[in-house]
Amino acid sequence: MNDVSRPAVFVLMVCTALVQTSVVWHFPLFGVVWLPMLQVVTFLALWYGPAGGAGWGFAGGLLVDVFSDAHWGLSALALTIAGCLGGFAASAVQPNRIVLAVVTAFWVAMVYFVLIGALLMTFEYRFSFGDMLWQTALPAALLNALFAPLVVLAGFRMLEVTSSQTARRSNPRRR
Amino acid sequence: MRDLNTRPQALVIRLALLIVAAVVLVFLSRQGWLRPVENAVSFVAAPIQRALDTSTGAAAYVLGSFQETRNLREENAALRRTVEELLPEVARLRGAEIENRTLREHLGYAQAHSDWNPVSAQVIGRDPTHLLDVIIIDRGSSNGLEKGMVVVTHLGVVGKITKVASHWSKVQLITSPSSVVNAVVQGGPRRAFGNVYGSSEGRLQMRYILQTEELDVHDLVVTSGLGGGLPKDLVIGRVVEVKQADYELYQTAEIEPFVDFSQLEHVMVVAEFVPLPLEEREFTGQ
Repeated sequence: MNDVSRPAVFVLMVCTALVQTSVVWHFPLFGVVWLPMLQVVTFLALWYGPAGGAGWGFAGGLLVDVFSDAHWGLSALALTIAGCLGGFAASAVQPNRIVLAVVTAFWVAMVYFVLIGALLMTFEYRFSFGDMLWQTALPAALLNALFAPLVVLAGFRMLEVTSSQTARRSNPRRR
Repeated sequence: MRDLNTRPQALVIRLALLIVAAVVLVFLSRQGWLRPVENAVSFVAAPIQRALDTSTGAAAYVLGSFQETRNLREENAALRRTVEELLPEVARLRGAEIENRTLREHLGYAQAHSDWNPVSAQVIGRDPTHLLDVIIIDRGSSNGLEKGMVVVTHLGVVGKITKVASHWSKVQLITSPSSVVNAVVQGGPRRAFGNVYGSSEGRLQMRYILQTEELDVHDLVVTSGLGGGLPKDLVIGRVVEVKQADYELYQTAEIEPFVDFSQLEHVMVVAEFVPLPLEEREFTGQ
C-alpha cells in the first residue's frame, strides 16, 4: 500500500482507544457512555469492506483491551466479528450513505455487545444477559447510531484526503 | 485504499486467523502469561492516560458544576414555589396557635370565675379611628347579654356593653374618653380610691385621689365595686406615674392597662353580674 491512509487510521485508532478509556466516561450522554471505537470501526468497515472491517476491528479492539487493562483479545474478538459483519454493508447498494451509516452503526454495536456479553459469561462473569441488552447494549447502540452520520462522513473525508491519487483512481467506485 | 472485492475464501481465512489470534490472546491473558507485556505497555501508556484522565476529569467537573448550578437554581425555584404555597397554611396555623393560647388563658380565667357565668365572645369589629374606642363582639341578646354588662379578658377589664343586638354587641372600652370607672390602688397600707378616666389618646388616668394617700409606681389598680357598675377587684392596670402638686386638692396617677386593646381578639362577658340601675348608681356616686 503506497498511501498514507493506513498510518493515519492507526494513529486515529490509538487516539480513539485513549479517548475511550480515559476521556469519554467523564461525559456520559443521557446516562450512556459513548464508545468511539465502535464508531471508528463502523466507518472503517464501511470504507474497507468485510476484510478491512475485520482487520481494523481486531486492531481497534486490541488497543481498547491494552489501554483498558482488560483481558487482551476480548474486545478484539468482538470487534473483529462486528467489523466484518459491518463491512458487508459497504458492498450493498445504498443511495443514501447516511442511512447506511446509521443502520450499520446500530447493528455493529449490538453485535459487539452480544459478543462481549457472551464472552464474559463464558468466562464465568455473572450478570443478566437480558438486562445487559436492554440497559446497556440498546442505549449504547442508539447513541452509536446517533453519532454515526457525523463520524462516518468525517472519517470518509479523512480517508479521501489521506489516500493517494493512485489509490483513488484504482477504485472505480470512487470516481 | 478501498478494496471491496476480497474473495470469499480469502475473507474467511483472514477472519479465521484474526479470531484465532484473538482467542489465543484471551487465553494467554487469562493465564497471566502476557503480564510482562501488559506491564510494559502500561508503563508507557499509563502516564498519557493519567494526564488525559486528570485534565478531562477537571473539565467534566467544571461542566458538571454548571449543570449542578442549573439544577440548584431549578431546585431553588421549586422550593420557593413550595414556600409560597405553604405561606397561607403557616399563617393559618400561627393564627390557630395564637387563638388556642388565648382561649386556653380565657378558659383558665373563666374556670376561676365560674360564678360570673362568663360568655366567651370574639371581636368581630373595631372602631378604625380609635376616636370612639368601641369594639363589636359576636354575642348578643340571643346569648343572654344585656346592656351594661362587663367585658373582660384574663388580663383585666376591657369595657362595658353599650348596645346589644340579637347576635352582636357594642362594647365601649375603658380607654374611651367617655369612660369612667371607680377604682382603687392596691399598694400602700391604705387603699386609695379614685376614678379612672379614658382619654382620646387611649391612655388611662386615675383622678381624685386624696393627697394623703401614698402611691407608688407599679401599684396595682383594680375596680373598687363602688357604684355597682362593675364587680369588685377586677384588674385595670398598674401605676406608671404619679402627679402630685401641693396646690392641688387631689393627686393624679397615669395608669397602664394590662390589656393590649389593639390586639383584642377574644373577650369574655361577665353575664352573671347585673349592674345597678342608673338612678341607684347616681346615688352611690358613679
